[in-house]
Amino acid sequence: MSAMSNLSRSDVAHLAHLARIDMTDPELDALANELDVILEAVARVQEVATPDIAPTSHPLPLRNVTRPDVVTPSLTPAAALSGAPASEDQRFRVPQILGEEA
Amino acid sequence: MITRAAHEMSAAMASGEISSVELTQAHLDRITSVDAQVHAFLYVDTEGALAQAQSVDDARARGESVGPLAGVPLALKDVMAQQGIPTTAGSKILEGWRPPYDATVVSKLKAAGVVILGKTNMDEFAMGSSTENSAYGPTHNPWDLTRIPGGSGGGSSASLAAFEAPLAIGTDTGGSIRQPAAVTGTVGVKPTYGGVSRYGLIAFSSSLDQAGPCARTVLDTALLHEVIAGHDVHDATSIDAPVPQVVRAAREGSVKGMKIGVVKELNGDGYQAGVRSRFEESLELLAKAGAEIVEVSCPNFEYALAAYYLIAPSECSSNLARFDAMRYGIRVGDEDGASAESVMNLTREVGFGREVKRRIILGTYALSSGYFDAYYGSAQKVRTLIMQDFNKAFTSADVLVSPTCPTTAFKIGEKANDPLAMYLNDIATIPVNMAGIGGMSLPCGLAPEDGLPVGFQVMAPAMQDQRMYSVGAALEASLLSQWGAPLLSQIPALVGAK
Amino acid sequence: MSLTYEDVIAKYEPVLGLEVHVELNTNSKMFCGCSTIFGGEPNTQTCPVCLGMPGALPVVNEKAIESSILIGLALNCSITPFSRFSRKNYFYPDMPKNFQISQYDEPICVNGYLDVEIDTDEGIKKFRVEIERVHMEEDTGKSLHVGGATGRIHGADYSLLDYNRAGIPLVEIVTKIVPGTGKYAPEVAKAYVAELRDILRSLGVSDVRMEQGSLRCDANVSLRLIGAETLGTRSETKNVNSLRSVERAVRGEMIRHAELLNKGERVVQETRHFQEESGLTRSGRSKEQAEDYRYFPEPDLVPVAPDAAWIETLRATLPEQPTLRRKRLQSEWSVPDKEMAAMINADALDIVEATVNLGADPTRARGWWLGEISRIANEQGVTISDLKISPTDVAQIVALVAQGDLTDKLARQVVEGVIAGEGTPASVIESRGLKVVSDESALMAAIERAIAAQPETAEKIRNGHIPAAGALIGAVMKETKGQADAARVRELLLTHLGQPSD
Repeated sequence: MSAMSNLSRSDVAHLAHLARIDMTDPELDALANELDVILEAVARVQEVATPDIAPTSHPLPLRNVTRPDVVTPSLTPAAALSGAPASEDQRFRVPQILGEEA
Repeated sequence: MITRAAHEMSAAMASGEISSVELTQAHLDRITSVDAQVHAFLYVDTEGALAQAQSVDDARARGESVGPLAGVPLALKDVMAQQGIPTTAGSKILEGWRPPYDATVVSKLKAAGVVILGKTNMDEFAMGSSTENSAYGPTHNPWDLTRIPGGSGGGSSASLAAFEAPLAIGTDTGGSIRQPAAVTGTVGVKPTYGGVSRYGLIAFSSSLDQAGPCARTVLDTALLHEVIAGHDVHDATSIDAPVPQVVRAAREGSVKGMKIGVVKELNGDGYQAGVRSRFEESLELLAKAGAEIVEVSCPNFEYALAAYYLIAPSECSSNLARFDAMRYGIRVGDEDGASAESVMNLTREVGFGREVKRRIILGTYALSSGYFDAYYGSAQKVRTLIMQDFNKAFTSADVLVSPTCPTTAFKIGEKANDPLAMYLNDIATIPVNMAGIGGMSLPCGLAPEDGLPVGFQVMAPAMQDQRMYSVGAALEASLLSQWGAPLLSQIPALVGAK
Repeated sequence: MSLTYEDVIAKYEPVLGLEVHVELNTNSKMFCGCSTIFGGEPNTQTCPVCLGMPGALPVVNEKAIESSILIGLALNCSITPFSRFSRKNYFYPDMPKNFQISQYDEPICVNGYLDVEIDTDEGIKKFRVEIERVHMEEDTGKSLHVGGATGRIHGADYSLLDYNRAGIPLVEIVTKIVPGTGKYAPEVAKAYVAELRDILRSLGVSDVRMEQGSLRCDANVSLRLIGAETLGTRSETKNVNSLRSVERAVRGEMIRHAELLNKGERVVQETRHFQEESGLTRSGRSKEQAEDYRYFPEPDLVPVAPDAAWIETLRATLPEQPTLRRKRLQSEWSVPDKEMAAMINADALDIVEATVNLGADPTRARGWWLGEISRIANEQGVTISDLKISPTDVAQIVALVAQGDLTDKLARQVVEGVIAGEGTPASVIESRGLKVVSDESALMAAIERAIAAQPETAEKIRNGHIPAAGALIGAVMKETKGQADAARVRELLLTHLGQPSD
């Protein structure tokens, strides 16, 4: 896959589906164009990213940061549910779930 | 009183010249008077602020010893969770959300007696360099209301320049503290990554985000730095070591014998003439104060922007997945027969702004199978190269310096439709985030061509944050003696100001 | 249609792959301090972290890492010197962050194995199941589907979410493909899960209660023509909630695949759900199009890099491996195979061993736990460990019988009393007055009275008709309210009437 590839509307639609954003066609088209330009610019990283260089995912060289297995107070259910768009029986109420669990 | 420095306000309270309630009320009045024009605040917590001020006054009256910033008002970037206070991160998707918990930074502020006035405007989820991406409208630069106050923390920097608050909290992922400081003539510090807890900071890009102090003077910034810094067991990436002695460094303000490295690649072409001249003059002042100025080269910095615009969107595409209308925030399209998936899709379409969606899609692409190595993987390697450049440069210099931004504040709307041009604003600030080191911006004068503030950036090795304060305080003192008064004394008065 | 299992294995070779998810029994969740106790009121064990609230951050539970390392060591794995958490990105309402923190390409343990034995017509057969990886992740919340058909996801009007389970530490144990099991594939699958369960229990890292979901098995099955090299398309059966179901699910999938293949149809790569009632699976999500989970290193967490000292400290705490322990105990106690199997089935090994360790004779200890105590447990519908009788109680009772202070019959009453909550064996004996009558002159007096009452019977015995003794012994026992040692009574009676007593 070359970095210069042109993204089509359906490429962007697939990405929008993965990201769960319901975009309109004009939006997809505009984004396809913008992403082409941005991708061309950011693909410059490939110029210097040679196989001998180790990737850095984190700026700090920390290891093994853990917490002891100790129970700390939870939120009250009222606080947990305080921001919920809908709730019922002390649970978050959500619209019907169509998909399958992974 | 509201134009004074925070440490002067603190002294005035200690001497009984003014109470915290009076000081807080003065700032609330100022906000009422000018914020319609500046739009620095998204929410003003009048009641909470006055209650906190009263409790500090009460503590003082009882003769209790209070911290150096007790009773001083502060503006909090709306990306920090504050219990019971609307917290939106500048996004419509979080409209109305009141967190059931405090960010660690907020807990520390409260414990130190700092008075939180309210929440400041920002680019949505901290994505932007102008605060134009806020779902709640742009913030205006108090130097020129037609111009941007920088971003993403434009609300925090504007509140300082408009004398609505003497202290503010910002967060910096690619320059969101330093660039707004630069274009508003204020001081802002991005501490070493891990120096200040991220717990309660609504994540944009977790490996780059860092909260930090903002103020009008270097010493005030240092005082606030010491209040919010320190190890936090709720943040696994927090550094478990003593906080660097930044207040001491700011008070001493000495650069004698220090080697200051000018980064060759962060100057020159693409930098506005007035930005360059003010920067050069500052170097001379530092040399006069006893520093040795050397030149260093960081050849891989030219790839930093590209790597940043892969890493940050990738992490944000995952961090922002939680905004799905199920547990908090707005919910769109929940009508009879609607599915959870369609509600998620619609809510995210309506709830996120254009720039946020652009970055989520970009990040989703960069992480997808087949493209991961070419994009995200390569960007991580560039990150290694940038760290190596810094390590090498710090063998020949104690700190590195550059202009904070290539230009002074641009006009609102000028770059709104050109994402790449907008991204270029962060070219000098991004390397610091990529390497996780500390960076400061302080004002070094006005560009002759437009009369707008120019920022001077100081970068220090990880966990050596005090060095930025030494340099910043020394330069600030030299400039002050040259100017005779703080730079902000030259800011045009806002209409309606008392 | 309707192939028999024999038809299937005559033509095809099954290939297994097993993924077992284990909920660890830590006190607190994987990344926050919320309690992990099962069955709490909805959303009472949640906080900003496990609800995925904006700004909240995870911090790893140290005990979860140690439990994972222990599991790896017990499964003969290498513990990797550097492992990391990644984010597995996909949207689902029961997952608060819409990504799962999970180990991906750098798991904590790799390359182990577990040997399992199955009892076949051809004798005991041994199979080695190779372990690919052991990794840590977090559990999801639970959805309750309301409206439509009984709690099923399809046709529900809406769902209610409880996040108490969200963030509970999970360890996933993934096997390499398991070829070569032939017709024994279903039994091997079951034996593997059973053995794994025993190991996890012996390590004390999980409650391993399949019915509560603290141990969950996904069974991957594919078929290939015998002799073929390439693997067939696999299905992944979820929801397998008992050992018996593991066996049934594998068998059922083998038959289903064979029927499709025989008809020239293809097996669809998909998730299937096991249905306990029918033993069949129903179609779930198709996996034809690979999900794009966009894994990347979790930036909120730092790597886990256990050093040798940490690993060796943990290794030193490893208990004896369950199979070896079973073999050792069987030989130490001289238990026949069948009875050993019964003891394992009844889950009585630990409790019997504890009783033996308190000085009881192994055969007696086993006899009590698998006999009278199991009978009472069955009556009450509980397990022996749920009853109010301890190894200490049983060891004391065994000792009292051995000393002749209790008869077996009295001892049964003592057991009954202890279980009924009447106290220790000593206090039950005291309060119920169950002491053996061992005063021989008192016994002789009772015998005299019995003879006097039934002179004809006594005469028969004198004439050598020994079986008649039962009636007199019964009378003596009745008079002593069962508290005499019947064998001693018989001895005294027969000697008294001039007959040999043995």
